[in-house]
Amino acid sequence: MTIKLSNVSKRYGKDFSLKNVSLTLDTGKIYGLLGPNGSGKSTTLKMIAGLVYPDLGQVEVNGEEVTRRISQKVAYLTELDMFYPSFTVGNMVEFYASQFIDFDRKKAKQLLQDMKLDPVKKIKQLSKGNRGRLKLVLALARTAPVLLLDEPFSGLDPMVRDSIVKSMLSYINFDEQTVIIATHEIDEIEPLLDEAIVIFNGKIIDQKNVEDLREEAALSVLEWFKSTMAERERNNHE
Amino acid sequence: MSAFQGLVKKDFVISKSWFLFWLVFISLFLIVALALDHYILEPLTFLPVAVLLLLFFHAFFLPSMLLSMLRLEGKTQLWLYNPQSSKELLLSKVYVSLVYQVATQLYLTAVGLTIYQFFKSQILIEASDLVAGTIIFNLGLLLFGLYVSCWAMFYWTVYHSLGKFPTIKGWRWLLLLLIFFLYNVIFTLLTRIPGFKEVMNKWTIPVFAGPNFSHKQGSWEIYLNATNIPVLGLLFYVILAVCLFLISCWLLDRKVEV
Amino acid sequence: MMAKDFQASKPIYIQIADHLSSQIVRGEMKAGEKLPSVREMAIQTGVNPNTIQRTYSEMERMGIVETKRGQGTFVTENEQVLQALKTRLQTDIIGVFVQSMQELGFSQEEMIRGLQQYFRGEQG
Repeated sequence: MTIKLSNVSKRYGKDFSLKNVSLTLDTGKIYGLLGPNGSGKSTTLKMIAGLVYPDLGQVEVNGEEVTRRISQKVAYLTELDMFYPSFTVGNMVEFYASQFIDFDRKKAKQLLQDMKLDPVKKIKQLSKGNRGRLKLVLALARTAPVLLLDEPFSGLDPMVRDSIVKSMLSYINFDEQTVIIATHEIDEIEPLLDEAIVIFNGKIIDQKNVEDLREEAALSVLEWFKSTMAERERNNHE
Repeated sequence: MSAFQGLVKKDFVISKSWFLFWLVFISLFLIVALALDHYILEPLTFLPVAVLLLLFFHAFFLPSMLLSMLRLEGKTQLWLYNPQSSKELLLSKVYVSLVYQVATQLYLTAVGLTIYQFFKSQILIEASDLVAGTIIFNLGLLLFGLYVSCWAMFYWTVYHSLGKFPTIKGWRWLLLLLIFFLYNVIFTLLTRIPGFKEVMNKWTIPVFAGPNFSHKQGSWEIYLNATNIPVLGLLFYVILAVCLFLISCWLLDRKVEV
Repeated sequence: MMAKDFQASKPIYIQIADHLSSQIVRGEMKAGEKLPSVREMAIQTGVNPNTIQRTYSEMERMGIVETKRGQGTFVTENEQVLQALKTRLQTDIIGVFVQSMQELGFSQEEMIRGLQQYFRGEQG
C-alpha cells in the first residue's frame, strides 16, 4: 500500500511542524523516520493515521485521501498513552477486536503471552514499560497494510527493547505491510530498516537505502544521521 | 460483538462510575429530604419537592453525561482513531447517556409513585391524569435532554475543530457564545415575521402537562392543565436537532483534531 | 550475533553471509544442513528479513547454499565449493594479517620468520 505526502505543510502557532513535505513510501518496506524531538516525526505519522489534517497539500494512502477513517487500513502506535483508565488489559484487547476487522485475537493472545501481560490487570496499574508493551500488542495484532510506530522504545529498558524487536520481526508481514518507525533512538532499529529518512525542523532532509549507505559511503545510519545533522547546523550558522 | 456493541460497551465502562455517583447523590438527596420531613413532623413537604427538583435536573443530565464522555475522549486520540462512522461514535454515547437517564427517571418516578401510594388519601388526582401526566412529563424530559445534547455535541465539535487555528485558539469559547447569540437573534427575528407564529401554531395536539398544585386543608390537589403542543414547532426542533447532529458528525470526520 | 554487533562500514547482508560462511567452514553447519528460514534468521539476528533474503541470494549466487523449492535453503553438498570457501576465508584472514603487518613496517621475510618463531614457541 503506497503512502504519498504531496507538498504537505502544517503549522502549530507560529512554527511550522511540517514545511512542504513530499514523500512516497512503498509496500513491503520498513522505513525509519529519524530526527530529533520536535522535528515533525509525530505530526507526519498522525497525518498518515488521519488524526491531524494538513493546512496545505495532500496525504494519500493507496490513492485515497486520508481522513479519520483511514484507521481501517492504518495500525498506529502513538508515543502517548492511548488507553481508557478504567479498562483492564483484556477490555482493551476486546475493544480493539470489536473495532478493527483485521484484529487477530489469536495473535493478540500470543503477543500478550510473549510480552508477559496479564489480561485481568487494570491498565492504570501497569508500569510504563508494560503500557508500552500493551500498545505494541494492540498495533501488531492487526494485519493492517500500514503499520506506524511512533517511538516504540521510549522509556523501555534494553531487555524489553530486544523482545519488542523480536516480536516485530515475528509478526510483521513483510510482503504486504508498509512499516514506518519514527524514533530518535537510531541504534536500536538500524538493522530493521530498509530505508532511512531524516527529518529536521519540519523538512525532509534526505532519504537513503540503509544497505546502499553502508556499501557506498561505508556509513551506518547513525553515522550518516549525525553527519547530515552536523551539515545542517553548519549551514544554519553560515 | 459488532463494532457498535463494542463502542457501547466501552462507553458504559468509561462512564459507569459517574452514573453510580449520580445515583448515590440522588438517593442521599431523597434521604435528606425524608429526614427533614420527619424532623419537622410535616410529611410531604420536602420529599415531593426533592423528587420534582431532581427530575427537573434531568433536563441537563443527559447532555452533562455526554459532555463528560466527550471531555474524556478529548484527552487521547483513542476515540477518533477508529474506522467507525462519526454517527456511530456519537450515537453510542447518546445511547449510553439515554439509558442512564431512563434508569434514573424510572427510579425517581418510582419514588414519586411510592410517595403517592402512602399519601393517596391526601392527594386528589384522577388516576388517568396521573398515568398520562407521568408518561408525558418523563417523555418530555427525555426529548428535551436529547435536544440539549445535540447542541452540546455541536458546540464540542465546533470547539475542537477551531483548535487547529492558532490565532483563535484562545478565543474559541467566544466564538461559541457568538453562535449562541446569533442563533437566538435569528430565532427571534423569525418569530417576528408576521404570520410565522400563526403557521407554527396552526396544528396542535393537546397533552396534559403543567401540573397545578394547591394545598387545601392539609391535602394536595393536583390538576393537569391541557397544553396544546404545536406540531410544526415540535417538528422545527426535531429538524434542528438532527441538523446539529449531522453537522457534528461531519466536523468529527473531517475537522476535529484533539 | 545481535543487532549491536554489526560493523558500520560493511553492508549487513555481507556481514551475515560472512558469519554463516565461517560457521560452515568451522563445521558448526554441515554440508546438506538446512539453514533457518528467512524469518527465523531475521528474529535470531534482529535484522530486516529483506536483508536476510539478500544474504541467502548472495550465498546462493556463490554456490554455498541451495534453495530447494518449498523445502528451504540448504548448505551445499558440493565438496569443491566448500573447499574453495575454506580457502577463500583463509586468504581473507591472511590478507588482513599481512596488511596490518605491512602497516607496522614488517617485510615479507620478517613476517615468515615471525610466524615460524610463533609456532615453535607454541610447540615448545
